[in-house]
Amino acid sequence: MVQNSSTSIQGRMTTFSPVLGPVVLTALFAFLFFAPMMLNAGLLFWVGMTMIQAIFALSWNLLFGYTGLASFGHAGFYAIGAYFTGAALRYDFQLPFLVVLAVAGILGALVALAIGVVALKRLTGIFLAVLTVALTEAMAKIIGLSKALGEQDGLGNIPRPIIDLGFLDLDLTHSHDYYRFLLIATVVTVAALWWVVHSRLGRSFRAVREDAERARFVGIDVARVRVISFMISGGTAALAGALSAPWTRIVTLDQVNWLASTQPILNSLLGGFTSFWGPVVGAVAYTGINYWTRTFAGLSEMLVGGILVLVILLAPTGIVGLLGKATRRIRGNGGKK
Amino acid sequence: MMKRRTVLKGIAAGAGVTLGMNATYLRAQTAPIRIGASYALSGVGAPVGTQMLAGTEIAIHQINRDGGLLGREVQLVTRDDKYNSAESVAIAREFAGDGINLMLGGSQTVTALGLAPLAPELNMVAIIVAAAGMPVTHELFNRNIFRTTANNYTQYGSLGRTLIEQNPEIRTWVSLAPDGDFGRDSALFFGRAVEKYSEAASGEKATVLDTIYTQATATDFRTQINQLMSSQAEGLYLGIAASAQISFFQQARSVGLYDKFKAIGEVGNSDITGKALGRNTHPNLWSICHWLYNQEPFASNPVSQQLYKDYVELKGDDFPSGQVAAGHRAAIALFEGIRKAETTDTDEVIGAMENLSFESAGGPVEFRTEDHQMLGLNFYSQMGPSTEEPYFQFNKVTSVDAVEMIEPANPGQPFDINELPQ
Repeated sequence: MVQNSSTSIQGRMTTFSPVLGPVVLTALFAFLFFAPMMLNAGLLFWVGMTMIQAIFALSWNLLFGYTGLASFGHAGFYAIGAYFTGAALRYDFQLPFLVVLAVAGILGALVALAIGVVALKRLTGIFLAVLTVALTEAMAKIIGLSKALGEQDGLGNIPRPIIDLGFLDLDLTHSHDYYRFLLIATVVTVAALWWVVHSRLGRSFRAVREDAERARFVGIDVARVRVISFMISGGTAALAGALSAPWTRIVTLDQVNWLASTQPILNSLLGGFTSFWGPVVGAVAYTGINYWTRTFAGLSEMLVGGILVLVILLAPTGIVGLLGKATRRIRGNGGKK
Repeated sequence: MMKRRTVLKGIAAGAGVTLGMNATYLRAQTAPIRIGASYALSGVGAPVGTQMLAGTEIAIHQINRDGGLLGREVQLVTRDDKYNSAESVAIAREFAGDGINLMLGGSQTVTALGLAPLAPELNMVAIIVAAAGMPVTHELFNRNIFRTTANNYTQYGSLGRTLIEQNPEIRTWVSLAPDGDFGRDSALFFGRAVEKYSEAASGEKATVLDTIYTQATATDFRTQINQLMSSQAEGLYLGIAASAQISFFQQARSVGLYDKFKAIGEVGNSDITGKALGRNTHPNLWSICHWLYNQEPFASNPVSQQLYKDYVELKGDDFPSGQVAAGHRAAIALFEGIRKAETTDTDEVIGAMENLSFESAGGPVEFRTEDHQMLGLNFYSQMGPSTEEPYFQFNKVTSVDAVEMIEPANPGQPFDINELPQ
């Protein structure tokens, strides 16, 4: 829990110039948009996976970093989106792709609501952690017995969609086209999450995280706020899974286990859970380590593990926190606000 | 009238362009042939993947020692798929981006299922080295993939046939398998073959009891052992693998299961179980056998002999795993396809491989044209305890021809055992 976190999330970005942020983001978008022309197909695939992992990690951190709740079975929500979208495309549900994505997100949110209702009074700490782990395990069992979902082998050969806009067919069957769709979907999702955490609702999330009793005293319905946060988080994780299915073209039980649930946690801790952008930076760092060590079998796991230990011991606010500290030091205030 | 200097300049420029083009062409014709290999080299799949990679590396060493392929050196580009489908997808894309159109991969079904649908999009020839899942040559089939191992139906049907033919006196059989599609299917294929071949073996149809299920990673088998001990069966198919299988044997032995069951067929642990149990190995334990260098027919096979010799020389180990032969066979299949096509062009190599036959460590093999499934002999070994180190030994190796045990080719359609003649 981060209820007593001494580092406030609000105001973190004030470390950087207000102009620099939009410039960096615009340049990054331009680079990513033209990446298919510049990058090897393998690297491009990992860039796409990083965007998906960034959304997944942001969804987890909305819960942990902003509301003070920990989910150890977030892969369950991701899998709901991935398997639903995989099945919708593979078996041709006759639904427009954008509707498929929306339904996937809603399914994730509804499952989060169901869990939230069950644990409404105690939706915190170990209760939520156990329930989410149980959800993931139950889903793995159900999928493992479902022939239509590929049982243990996974659901393969998922076709990429063609989006019918009425006046135009958006053909995403080529990987470059789907990549650009993925990029735009990522930007929209990240922007939506940014808006949520900076809205009145986001402030109530933080109030609950900082001190639930005090938040209740000032009139915030703590249980309701926690359930809403959990629903947004679950729905966003499901959306990340939904976007991944046509990208990888296969969904397997690898994505429905406790190990997969540790991925957004790892990315958030690595990048810094106290910052909105921390999970994104963590996802990029994790992919970078994996990619540059790909010729050394087993090295990436050791490196990631080692770096994570170092980050937790030396820089608990992650890479973003470390960068912030360095920036402040360069500006000459000794790293103090 | 054109000046002489202008004419000379033109000729010189033309010669330069022609020479440049020829140099590019010649460089392409003499540059190394790059082959990608994507195996599970870390994580739970590593014990199998690293052995397959060793076999592939030896095949590369052998072909280069013999002067290369089409007069060109062969280079291996290796990646770790981590037993993960997303990794296998990324690796295939990376290979394609690097201009590699020939690859070996799919050391397990989960990675093969990620790789297979991509091969046409990437214009790649993909050799599926060891994934036995039925979808690879059925609903996920495409002309760019070739499988160099037996599928599950052939493998476990042949194991069932071997067990009943070698032990015709056993009239009642039962299976203990993990509760998943692989466990259910392998037990079903085993049981159907036992029923089918029992009449020919002993004149009477054997009884196959309902399969008992467990968890693939279970460590406590007391309930299942109790069920087995109280059943009428004397023959057993054991579908649990790796360390779970060893735990099962350790627990089963102490309650007299070895006396009750006269023969056991296991899923594929082979010498792993023998090494773990030693003197406590079941006396009539049958396994899927990929390669046993010192047993016939491998011992007198020249490809097998050379593979063993090179393995010892390159790896400094006298006891290779059977999986080495799988990686070796897959590489040879690709080499022979390139040699026959006389080019590395994807379409030409696919065309050449569709009716290719070649020699492997286990004898001659060929591809079935319709679904690119490899056909050849599948081997089964019988082992038991020994008084000498390592306190277990292989006593016998038998074979079943895949042609007799394979389902009709039905590429593009899901496999259904109930649609086959029983």
